[in-house]
Amino acid sequence: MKALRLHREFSKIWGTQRGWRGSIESVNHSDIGKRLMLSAFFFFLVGGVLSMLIRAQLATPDSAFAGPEVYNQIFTMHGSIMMFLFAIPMFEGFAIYMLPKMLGARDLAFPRISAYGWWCYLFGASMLCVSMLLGLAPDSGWFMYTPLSSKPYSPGINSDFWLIGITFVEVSAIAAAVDITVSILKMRAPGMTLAKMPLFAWYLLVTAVMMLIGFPPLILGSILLELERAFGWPFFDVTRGGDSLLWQHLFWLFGHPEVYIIFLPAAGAISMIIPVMARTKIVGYGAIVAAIIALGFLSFGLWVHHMFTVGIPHTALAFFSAASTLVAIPTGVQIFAWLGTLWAGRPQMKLPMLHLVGFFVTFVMGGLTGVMVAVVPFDWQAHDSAFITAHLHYVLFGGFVFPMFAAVYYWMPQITGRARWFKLGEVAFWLIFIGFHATFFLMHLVGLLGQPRRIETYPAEVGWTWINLISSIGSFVLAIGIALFVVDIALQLWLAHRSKRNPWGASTLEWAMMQPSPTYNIAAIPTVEDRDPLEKQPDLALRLARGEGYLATPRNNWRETLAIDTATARVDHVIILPGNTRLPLWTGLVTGLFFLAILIKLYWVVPIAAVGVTVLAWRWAWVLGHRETVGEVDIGQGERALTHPECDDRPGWWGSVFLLAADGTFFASLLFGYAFLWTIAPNWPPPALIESSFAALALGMAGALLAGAVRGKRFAGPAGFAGTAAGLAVAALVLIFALVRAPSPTDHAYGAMLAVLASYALLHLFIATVMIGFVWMRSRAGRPESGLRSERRIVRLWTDYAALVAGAGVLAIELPGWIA
Amino acid sequence: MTGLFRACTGLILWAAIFSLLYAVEGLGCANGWAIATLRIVLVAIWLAGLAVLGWLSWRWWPIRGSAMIDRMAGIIALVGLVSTVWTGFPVAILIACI
Repeated sequence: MKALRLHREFSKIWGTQRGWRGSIESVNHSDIGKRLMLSAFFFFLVGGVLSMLIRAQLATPDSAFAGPEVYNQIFTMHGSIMMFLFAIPMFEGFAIYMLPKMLGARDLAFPRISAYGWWCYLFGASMLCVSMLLGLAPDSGWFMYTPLSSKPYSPGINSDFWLIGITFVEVSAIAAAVDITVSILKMRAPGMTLAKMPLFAWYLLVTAVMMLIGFPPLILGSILLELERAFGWPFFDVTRGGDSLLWQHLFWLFGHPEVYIIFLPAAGAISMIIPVMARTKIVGYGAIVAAIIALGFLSFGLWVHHMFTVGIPHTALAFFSAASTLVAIPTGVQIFAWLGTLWAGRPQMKLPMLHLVGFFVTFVMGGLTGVMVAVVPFDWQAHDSAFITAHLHYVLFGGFVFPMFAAVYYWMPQITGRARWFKLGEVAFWLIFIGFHATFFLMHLVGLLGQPRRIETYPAEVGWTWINLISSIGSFVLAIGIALFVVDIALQLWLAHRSKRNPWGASTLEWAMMQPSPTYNIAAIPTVEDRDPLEKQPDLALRLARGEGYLATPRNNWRETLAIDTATARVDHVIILPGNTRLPLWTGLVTGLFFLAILIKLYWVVPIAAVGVTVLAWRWAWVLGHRETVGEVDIGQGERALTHPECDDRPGWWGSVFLLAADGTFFASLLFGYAFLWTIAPNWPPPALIESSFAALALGMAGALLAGAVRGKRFAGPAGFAGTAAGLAVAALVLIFALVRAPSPTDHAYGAMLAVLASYALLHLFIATVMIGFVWMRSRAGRPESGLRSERRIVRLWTDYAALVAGAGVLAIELPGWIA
Repeated sequence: MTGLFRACTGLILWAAIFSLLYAVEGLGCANGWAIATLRIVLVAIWLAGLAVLGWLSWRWWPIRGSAMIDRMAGIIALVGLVSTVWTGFPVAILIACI
């Protein structure tokens, strides 16, 4: 009875109002996760239909099915949708849904950020879909190479849709990455040290950090290209000091880690499913963790292997070729650990396992062709041919789609509470498996016979007809298989009988709750003693439902969950999460207005939208925190802990640290671009440098130093605030002065780079000023010092970053002119 | 958090050495440095990196019974060392700037 009472009370606190009002207000991770997964799957189907159009076009020579203009849009959208609207959001959705359940938490660290990310994804993706419906879809290929995507060669709005839509979607990816990182580090159940985490959490931790480092270069590249297209700032125009290779570097700095960003979460799912299917424990947990960390780093040393044919010195090619072959080793470590687990256990060929067999066969083949194209002379032959198309589909379909199907069948009982009933899944698998290999294996051959990728047609005489026809038939078999999968899942969703709890006999925490899981996940937070908590305590689900654990007493309408110390996994404090709100929706809408105004060139709306986002962000932060000091609260098990607003180590601090890590990567990429153009691009040095000014250099540095100088308790006082604000103001004036003196940004890439550097630093000075104003107003509003202390710590961090980029920006702008 | 950072140090160093080699190579070729000078600088960076990573691998090599995250620091330092040997060796054998 206690379990039922707790369920009712927790549901009241964590639940969502029925109807559309509840839907738009919900910030619950299960709701957001399911929405993301469903919409990502919808886009998978849209991308799939586009791929069928591609295969219809290539089935026969001299096809008149689609003209080149339409065909270009089809293959560009197929790649873009599959990468940005399907693969990334799919695993984000899965992580958002599943991570708190696996970690023994009630939600993620930043529920409103999760919801905001969802709205950004929805609006950005809709923008791209609208472009397709209007016949104005991007048509320069999913990696948007300049100069093809530059204004003279793509004068329409097509490329703008890609640059702005994708950047908008990336906002959601960064939001999810911060959320996931902080949640894994701080919100595991007490006792769950890093060494006791489920492997899926390790995979997601590394993936999320990779996203924070990998996505900013693409966001920067997109902003620079949009500036070039909209205002003629020539970052990629060789005649005016730009370089189209800069785009390739920025794109692939993102693009190659992206492959691993997609693969690693899938590998995480595999690492969870295989031991259960094999009725044993994972072999080589430590080796797998080392392999994941190694992949996380090494995958950033491969980007130039996409550029082997562009004319880079051979020594540099050799670095990247060596790194590209090296990365096969940690991947191999995982494959052997999984095979070892199967060998050590008693595998059952259930449907998830069948898909994992599909994964093994397909992914290993893709990996081997990956090693082939890592070798420069082979790549020179295969580059830009259908061989590459085949390789990347083996890696991505093998490494992501098969594991996704396995994961769907494995976790569906957890999500829906229903067992699989109809047996269409096996037929669907074989159709998918045979269809996939019939489509793509032959593409290796036709590629080696010389068929370039992305051609819209070919003459009959070149002898590719039969291969292409069989490929196309294979793709339709694959599509029928996927349609059957959809039917199978729909039947499970609506018609199948209830599943028993934990039907696979798994031992991780996501099975220690009701199926489908309630909004609050667990009525009590357990103490974890090993990697398989359900093994020793098969009745854990019942015990948690009865409230045997931490935070089992609902109070004050608070959404409570626990934060731990990252290393020791001891209880650190109680996090009180925000409830349902429309703020994420409004912020998403205003952010959408910002991007839409840029797209349709209504530039006067852009600053209004920016002010709107600032006001909403202010409101977002203002509603948090206590109005009076709360002190330690009872958390059950005879323990007490502080609530997060009164702790220095609160999630907001860590969220800021990781967001700034992404921001710092953005800035580092910008400096890299500046240095790259200066050393490599033709037509440098520029015709005119900024007029040297020692005063500007000295004042700018002094301002930055002053802004960063006031620390500790002094930062809380009026003098400290005034001193910091004065430092920020001086640095800002110097940067504005630089903008005035700099050569025109339209004449040469040098002027354009200076303008972007100064604007970036000014934006951060503005953010720091607003934040300082925020804590000052909070203090004036009588908020208790116990909460203000941790808020000031966060503001100090952002102010330090602003001071740092202002100082570095002034140096980068003034120093070359002064030295010359 | 320090433990986690330590666990990644070997590969952070690999990334730093890798980036430095690539940057110096690009800079040297673009500015027309003498090939012999460029090679000496590149090999010196490579060897210095190997020395640091070798020392770290030896120093942090896991002691039986230590926590996983501490063992990881030694293993990843060794991974960084092997990776640096493999990705950096072209500077010793190839002619730069072609």
